[in-house]
Amino acid sequence: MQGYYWRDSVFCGIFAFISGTSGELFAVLESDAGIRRLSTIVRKCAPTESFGFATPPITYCRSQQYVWAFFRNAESLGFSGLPKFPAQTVFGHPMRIVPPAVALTLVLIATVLAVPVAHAKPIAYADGTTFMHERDRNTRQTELFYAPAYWWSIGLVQSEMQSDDKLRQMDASYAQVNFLLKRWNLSGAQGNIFASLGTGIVNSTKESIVGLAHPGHTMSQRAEYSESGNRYAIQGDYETRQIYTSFKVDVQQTPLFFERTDTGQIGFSPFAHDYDDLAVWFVAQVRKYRGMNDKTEAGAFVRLFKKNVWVEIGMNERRKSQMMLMINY
Amino acid sequence: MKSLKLIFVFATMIVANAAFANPKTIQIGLDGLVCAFCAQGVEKKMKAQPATDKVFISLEKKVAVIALKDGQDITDATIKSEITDAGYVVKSIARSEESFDALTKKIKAGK
Repeated sequence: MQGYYWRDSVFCGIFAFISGTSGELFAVLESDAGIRRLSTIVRKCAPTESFGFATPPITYCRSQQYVWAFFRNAESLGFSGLPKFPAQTVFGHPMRIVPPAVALTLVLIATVLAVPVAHAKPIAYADGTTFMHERDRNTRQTELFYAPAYWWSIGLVQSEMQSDDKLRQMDASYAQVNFLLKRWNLSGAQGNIFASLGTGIVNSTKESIVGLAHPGHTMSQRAEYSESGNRYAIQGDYETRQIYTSFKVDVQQTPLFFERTDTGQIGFSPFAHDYDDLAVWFVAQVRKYRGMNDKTEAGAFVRLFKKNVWVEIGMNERRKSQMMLMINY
Repeated sequence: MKSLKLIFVFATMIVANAAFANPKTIQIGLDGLVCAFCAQGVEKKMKAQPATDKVFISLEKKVAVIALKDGQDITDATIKSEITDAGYVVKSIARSEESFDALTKKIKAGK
């Protein structure tokens, strides 16, 4: 539970920070009843539900356990049900409040110390350990691998996904093996093809709206599944010191669940970096989702790379942010 | 006079042989070296060699330079094997009497 708390706090804090708004209060509701109540109010007052780029009176992010809410001048708009801050409860349910200063501090800490990327290689080098964390609006993925040799690595993957309407969610943990199937070492360029195989436990939920209890309140039905599942991925890349291209096909599957994400990237660096330099890349990305979300999104991000740390921050055409951090050691 | 010349020639040959027998640096030409992670892998492998004192890598010149500890060396076979194990290809190996600092300075200057 605590893990969700901090992770989501940082996550939402970053969005609020990017939105450039000030004076918001960050609140978390710690019960399903509170979530349902707040969700109803949010749906009523903020149909342009947002993760922070737009500035409706209330912006919220929903995770499996919590709703993170950003209240902004809500009372002036006549939403009398909202608590006066600081408050310990909302709608009679326990709530934690993170002041804006703390949220911004978390954002800065996350930006400076943490954030891991998109098509980072699952094998960095022999006897190397790779930590990777990637997230966008619909997915979060954390990976930790150790490579006994340059051509294979083994490790753990934690993968989370949710549909755009937040009615479907997936949370999977895999033990995974990665193989470098082929490498082309050229003069001034390198090409690679990787394959990954994972197996583990996939928990998924599906929520359906089944009716209207009374005006403003809906009734929903929630189904939860826990199954063994597999993950398959194939990834290719070609890079020089100034040009980068890659593709990845990532499939997660159980008897009841299927999700495929195809990603293509092309990037360039304005200067040819050397080993000690900070490498700066501008990367364009197209990502196609099939399964929970059937859609294609384009995006662009900046990749910063120095020694053993790789950071990517960007957004897609719907102005939803995407970030990745990778550290090798 | 003739014998003096002979002594000088022999002395020069002995000094020259001694220099090749005790190189200070090894310069390795590499293919596939395009990013910092690649360089890290090579650096880690070379630093693990007991004879290695320091390692310098230039992505621009596609070379790794190893400073050797006094009186020690790494065989070509070992270098090739270690670089291959790191996932890269050795294009050339050259030993030199030149100091590590002088050689890396020259590489950085693009000479």
